[in-house]
Amino acid sequence: MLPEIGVETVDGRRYLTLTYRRRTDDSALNYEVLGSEDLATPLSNWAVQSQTMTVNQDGLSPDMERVKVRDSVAIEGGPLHRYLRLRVTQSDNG
Amino acid sequence: MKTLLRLSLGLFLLVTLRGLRAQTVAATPPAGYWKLTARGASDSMLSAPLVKRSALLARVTAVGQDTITLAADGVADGAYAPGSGGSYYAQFVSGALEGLCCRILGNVGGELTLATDGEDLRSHALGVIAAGAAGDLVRIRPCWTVADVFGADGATLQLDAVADLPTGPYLASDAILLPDNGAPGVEKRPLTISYVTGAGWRAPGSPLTDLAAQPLPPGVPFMVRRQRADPVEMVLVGYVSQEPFQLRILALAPGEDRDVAVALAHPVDRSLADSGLFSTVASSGAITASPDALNVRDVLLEFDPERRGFALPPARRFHVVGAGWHESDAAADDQILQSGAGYLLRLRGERAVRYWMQAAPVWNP
Repeated sequence: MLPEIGVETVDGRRYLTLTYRRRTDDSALNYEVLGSEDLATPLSNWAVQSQTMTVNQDGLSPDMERVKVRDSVAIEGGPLHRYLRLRVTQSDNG
Repeated sequence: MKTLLRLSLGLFLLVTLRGLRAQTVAATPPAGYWKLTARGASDSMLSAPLVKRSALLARVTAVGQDTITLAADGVADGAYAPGSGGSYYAQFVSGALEGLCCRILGNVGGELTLATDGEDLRSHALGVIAAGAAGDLVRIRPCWTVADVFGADGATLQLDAVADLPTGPYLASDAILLPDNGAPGVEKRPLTISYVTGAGWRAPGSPLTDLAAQPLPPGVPFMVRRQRADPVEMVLVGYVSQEPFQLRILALAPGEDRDVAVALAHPVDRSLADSGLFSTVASSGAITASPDALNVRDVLLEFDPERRGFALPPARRFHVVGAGWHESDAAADDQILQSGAGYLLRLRGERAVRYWMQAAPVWNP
């Protein structure tokens, strides 16, 4: 399932969020939400976002989990545009 | 429909993860926000370079004069028909028509009726639409609407409301001016929409028609008229399209001139030379080369994004001589088209339908 972009207001400021579904039965898969204001920036230079938010888990199979991650940069006072992506990596023992 | 959406997106994830076995890293396309700023006491030509979330991706199984049928079970009749919730468009993702977007006028199950401007999809100028098991892919997306961008009600409204619909040729109120690319002529009258207190989005002459769901088509800008001195900022939250975009430019009759408002469909600036607006392929691009600088034919008009005022004239004019862009006598191939802005093509003289192809963005890995 492609991640879903959204907005959450925290302490009166709005932040981008990215909600995705992850497998819980494959520990070799690592999921990271990355943020950047420049699409031309190499993915390796996008900043990892680590602020997770509570999200509804209804309707998921037991081996799946829904995760919502909040951007660290507020829209108010932030750059003119900003983007999030989900990066999935697999460790060698996967 | 939801099942199909899950299937198509699940297929994406499956492909992604299968790719991981070989590549160990994969990333989803970008999604984010884009701020559109309307200057105070001014008209601002803006556009939406992000798209809304895809509703469906499916293959074409059959083609009619103005219909395509998608391999999509369970789609409710009228699910993609224009209504109070908005409008949808179909975008060809692969095949001869790749990038072309058509408004969806209605659907019966997976059969979509498209706005084709009279073109027969069975003998399309761009080529044959493949149908069947290896049929062309088509994506359905909702259009941005006036309510999406400018607010749906008094609580979310971004512009100033008016007590009554203005009258007269000039509207001394905040307003959204939507260009009419379909009509011939230059300096055409736009569709002007204001938010009327207690009523909603309305246009002069149609006080009972709710225009909250008025679509803002991809690749077409809109003018925001802001009366107060302070600027106003609209925040779009959406997705970066991964597909090329192709804008259909209508044919011109002999002796006809036409203004066509255009914008970049992706959040990536492009130089004039890389924009595809001019192509040495006769049927491609939107601009026809001029014989020389003294006999300019088609022009691209750019508006000053800093200048304040209403009904402003264009600040710069670009044309093509030979295969190169020029501003007056100076070379202009490197001039940049800004994403999120809007431009005007002033086309002069008879021609067939053209297609402006905007290539898909390419990301760094």
